[in-house]
Amino acid sequence: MNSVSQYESTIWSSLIMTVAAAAYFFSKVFGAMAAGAPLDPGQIARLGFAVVVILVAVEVAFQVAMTVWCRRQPQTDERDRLIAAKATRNAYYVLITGLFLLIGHLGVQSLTGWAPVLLLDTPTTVIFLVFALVIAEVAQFVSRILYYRRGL
Amino acid sequence: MITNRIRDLRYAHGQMTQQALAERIGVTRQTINAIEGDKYSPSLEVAFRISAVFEVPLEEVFKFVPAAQIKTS
Repeated sequence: MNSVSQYESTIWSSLIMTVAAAAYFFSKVFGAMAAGAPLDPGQIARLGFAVVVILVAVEVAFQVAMTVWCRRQPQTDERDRLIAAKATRNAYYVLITGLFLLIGHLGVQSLTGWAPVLLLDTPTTVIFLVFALVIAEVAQFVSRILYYRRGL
Repeated sequence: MITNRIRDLRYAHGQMTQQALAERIGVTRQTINAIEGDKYSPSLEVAFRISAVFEVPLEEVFKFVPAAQIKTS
């Protein structure tokens, strides 16, 4: 008996696509940072925009394919809504942790001139903000899957 | 923890499938599966709907087992 609902399948696909897109984007950006190359904000913005457009297009195509394959929209109920709420709460904790780390780092850097991890200029700060958002989104998908698998 | 007798009641009602029960109370089959496996405690509304389908009182479907009792058993 298939225990994975159509709705849960879409969460798995979103997780895989988000991780793949983020891995591609951040490998390029962090690779350039590690090589000591100066970051070109315009180039990073174009890369990020292209990745988001491709991600959205693939996600929409997958959702349409799933709807056609299953011959109906994914059905949700109170358990799906509770799982979504708890997963969003977990993602919020991850995002807040990331933001506090970034703000703390920026605070130390601006007050003392010393960078605990990495000298954060504006493009680098934006990249780490996006990184925190992506990690929070991944945490949300992983939380959902764990709640579906292990129970609430 | 809340345990239940939904599986037994389904079989007693003409071997009703999880899908059939799910459709009658307006949830997904996966939710019925999670409730039967004690992985999810349903809302009061869903609990009452389940007992209505089987035409038995709520306490014949669901039973509250205190955590201390689970540890000793």
